Amino acid sequence: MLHLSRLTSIFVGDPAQNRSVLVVIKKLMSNAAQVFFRLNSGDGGSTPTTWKNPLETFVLLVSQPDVYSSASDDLFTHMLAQGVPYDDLIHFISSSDTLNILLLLFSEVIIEDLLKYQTSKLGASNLHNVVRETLYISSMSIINFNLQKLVAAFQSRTNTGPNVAENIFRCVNIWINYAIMVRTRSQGQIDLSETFENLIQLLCLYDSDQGFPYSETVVSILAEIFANDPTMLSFELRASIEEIFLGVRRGSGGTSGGHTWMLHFMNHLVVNQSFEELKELALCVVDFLQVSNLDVCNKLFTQSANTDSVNMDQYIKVLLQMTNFTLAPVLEEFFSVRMVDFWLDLCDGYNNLVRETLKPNTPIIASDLFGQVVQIYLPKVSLINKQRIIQEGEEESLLHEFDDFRGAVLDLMESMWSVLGNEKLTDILIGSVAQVSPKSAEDLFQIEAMCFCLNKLLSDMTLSESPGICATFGANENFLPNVLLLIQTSCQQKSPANGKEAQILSCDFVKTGSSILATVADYLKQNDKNLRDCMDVLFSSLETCSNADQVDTKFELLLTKCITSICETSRSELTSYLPTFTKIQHAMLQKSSKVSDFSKQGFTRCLGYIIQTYTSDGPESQAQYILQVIDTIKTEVTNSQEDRTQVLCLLNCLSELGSALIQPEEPEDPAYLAQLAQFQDFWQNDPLRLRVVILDLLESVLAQHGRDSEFVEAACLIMGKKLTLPDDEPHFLSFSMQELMEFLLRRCATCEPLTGLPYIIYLLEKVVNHHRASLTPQDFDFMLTKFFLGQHRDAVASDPDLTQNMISFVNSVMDTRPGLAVHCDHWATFVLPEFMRYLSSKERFTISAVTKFWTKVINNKKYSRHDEITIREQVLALGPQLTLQTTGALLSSQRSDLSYYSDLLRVLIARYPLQSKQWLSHTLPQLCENHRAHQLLVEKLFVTRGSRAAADAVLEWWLSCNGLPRLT
Amino acid sequence: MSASGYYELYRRSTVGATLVDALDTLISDGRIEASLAMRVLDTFDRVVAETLKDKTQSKLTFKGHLDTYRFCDDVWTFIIKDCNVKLDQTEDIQGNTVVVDKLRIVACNSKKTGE
Repeated sequence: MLHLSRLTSIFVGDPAQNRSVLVVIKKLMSNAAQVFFRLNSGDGGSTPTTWKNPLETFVLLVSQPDVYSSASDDLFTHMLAQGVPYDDLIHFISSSDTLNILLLLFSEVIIEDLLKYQTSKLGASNLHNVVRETLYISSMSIINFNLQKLVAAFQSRTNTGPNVAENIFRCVNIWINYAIMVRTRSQGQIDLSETFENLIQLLCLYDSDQGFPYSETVVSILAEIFANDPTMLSFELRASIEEIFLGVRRGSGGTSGGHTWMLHFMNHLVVNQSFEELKELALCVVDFLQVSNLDVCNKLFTQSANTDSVNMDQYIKVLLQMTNFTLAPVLEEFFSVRMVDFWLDLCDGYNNLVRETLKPNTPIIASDLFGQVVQIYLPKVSLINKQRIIQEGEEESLLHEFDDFRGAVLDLMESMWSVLGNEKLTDILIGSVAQVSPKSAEDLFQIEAMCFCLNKLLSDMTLSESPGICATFGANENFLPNVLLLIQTSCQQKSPANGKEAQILSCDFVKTGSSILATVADYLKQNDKNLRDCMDVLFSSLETCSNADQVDTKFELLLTKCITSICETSRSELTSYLPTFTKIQHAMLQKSSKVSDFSKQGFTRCLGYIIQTYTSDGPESQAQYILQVIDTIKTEVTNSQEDRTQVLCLLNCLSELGSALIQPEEPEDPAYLAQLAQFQDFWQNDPLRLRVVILDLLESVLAQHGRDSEFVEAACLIMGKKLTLPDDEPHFLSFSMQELMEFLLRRCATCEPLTGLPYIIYLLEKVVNHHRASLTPQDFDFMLTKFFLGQHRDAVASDPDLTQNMISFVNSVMDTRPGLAVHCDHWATFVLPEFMRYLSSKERFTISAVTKFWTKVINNKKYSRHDEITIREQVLALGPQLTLQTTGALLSSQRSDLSYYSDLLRVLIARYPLQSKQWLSHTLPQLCENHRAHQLLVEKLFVTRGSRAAADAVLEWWLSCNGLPRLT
Repeated sequence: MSASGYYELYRRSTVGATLVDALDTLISDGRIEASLAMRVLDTFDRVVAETLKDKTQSKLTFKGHLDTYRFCDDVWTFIIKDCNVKLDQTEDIQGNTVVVDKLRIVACNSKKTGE
């Protein structure tokens, strides 16, 4: 402190000259703070401290420079305990701007260090008490005097010293942070009300000459508070801020002139294009509004609140005006963006109110209010605003921000639908889309914005069960043409020649248009003309796509996705299009076609949907169409043998066809049900020999690409398509068990094990699961031999992924029919010993799979009596070894793998309590010498029930044996 | 909450658990003291919280049946059944929806001091 006062005197003498001294002063202040903390920490201890206020000591030392020269201990001790009256303190800071700044700085440094200090020390409550009783009082005196001086200086148009204001606000900020911290730590309250009153005064200072000198700073301070701890401000302070922001007090009648400042300030920010500051203000205001959202909701809608209705109306009017800021959202204004949260909360609050508490006219008030909110947000989400962002050349993040805003408005619309219903929202939007006679780009933007919102509302409905909405569509004939116009126009605009702006916007247009068409697919299927119009536009738009660039590809994907949805929904209504679809699909699959692979596959799926419902002419006719598709694929495969991508795409098309031909739900069509036996019989016999054709096709492709895992994957998907379906469901891919096994064996023989074998094992798992009833343990032995212990044995043993695949395969059998595994020959000779060894694996995937395996071995509800007896004998015989292996692996495993082993130990103890206690007591001392920890582990494991408690017991033991700290 | 005023919950994330494993190894090998490991984890708590707050833009939305909810010790827990989780990736127009039987959301108050 003596050095500090000495250097302060030097610095004050000539601040400009001695600027470098300031760094040392700061460091000395920080050191002094640390000493102050140490002296006042703990519970007071045996030596009560007399140094309670470093600020006052600083004032005394600097005021009496002779002290440092004499350096008398007695004098110094006396000073440490001496207080400084308020007047002397004020006199001190008034005497020099530099001293004022240094004292503010000292207060700031102490509190900043205290914020860091308190996090790492226990027993700091005494320190906080000292701070509250002394330092807080001095600092508030200094801060508030300075803030008032700023007000006075503004009013008298005199200048404050340089950097003074900056230092004051920094000091204020740090004290606010400290006050927040103290509140959350239950260490007494720090009341900053007087400071806030002064800040509010500064906030509102303005005149035409000096502008708004402090408003932006105070707004950012308040924004921080509202975002973190708004209740720091008393009710009265919040009420006065409300009056300033909105010009209305909810609690009392009448309006005041406070809002004038707000209007001027906003105008000032708009005129100066200070959009960042405007954004900060919006954040501050909306965070503030959120604090009282529930209160607003109650006052507005319920009987319980005794409120002046005129005042409340005025309040809401201001909020609506604020939302309806006449600038582009995101780009220029942020109020409407932030207000989305407010309206959403208000709407949710209204929806959650108990109906009996509502005022009689509340439904009308609510629908009127939220109706206005809809009208405000529709133009806000219009892509015309996105266009402006692009035109301004703003960075991409702003575009994403605008998209996020649109997304948030959708959530709001969804919530407001609960208030407005179809009548006042959905029907109105449908009608409004239909009413637009598109003549200009603005009209299209309007249509897009409404469709964008409508899509969200409709996607939550089941149109097939909503005749009212379908009737509204029917009554608004122009709805569909206007939506189709969005798609058509965007297709015309998407060319790169029209520039980046047109490309981005047309993507959004087509996205909205195609999404809403897919959403209303259930309505479209009810009217043949509508369906035809849509398909015509979609196909003609698709024709314009040639995968020329990213935008083009995106268009194609969106359109294909839309067509797929419509085909899936309207499959039976589109059967008359079957010949056309077949032709288009044929053309698409040609090597020369420019259509993307995704579209080829998507379109084949569409065709499959229609073929699936084409049952009226019997199975033969249906099969002919399937044959045509397969023939096309086969021919193309032959023509494109060297083109890996094309051949792979063709196999995927075949897989898509197989998926599309799966019935989506239980068939109800009586005509089809009457023919069901005929269909089953047909596909059982397969007179057109489609399965043979497909098998031959796959074999010929895999002869060339058998080591390519993507081909193996596609082929396995095709072969396994029927395995998830009931046996009696007719499907053209109904391969027999023998066909499947032969296929798998051939693939296994030729595949690249590291990449291809996982797909083969996956299909094998499905085969075993599907045919489990007819399999024997000998079959399981055969599978283990062929797929894991034959040519790929080394690869399986050395590659953790393959090891995991093998263990998971055995696990899947343990889940479905464990007897198959338990009674096979390899069980005792390979599975048990080898899987025991895998317990000590270092690879997490292996540990996870193998601990699951042993858990299933020990505890399995699917065991038959016979299985149970066999397993009990085996576990009793293997118990000591299993325990040793598990605990040994556990001890040397990583902390993050402990839970796998603890689950296994828990099951072992639960299933074999008597034996496992002996096994553990015998095993643990062999691992390491830590008798106490071993004893505790055994005790805890035998009394815990939950897996969490067991995991904790295991962790304690592991930490103790490894000498590691807890860390987590 | 850790001593530094930040939640420790991210220590159980994959990246956190991996860091803890690495620190365990360093302590076991005698290359660092346990106190340094603690400091590393304190820093990790802070950096994860700040990074998630400041540098992430991805959003996900979910829809399902709220089965259980509770608010205890300043921690909200929600269990949502039959949940559709949609990852919001504007570029991925093929959609990215994950369907899960049960989703557990544990939410702590981010507006704590120190942040």
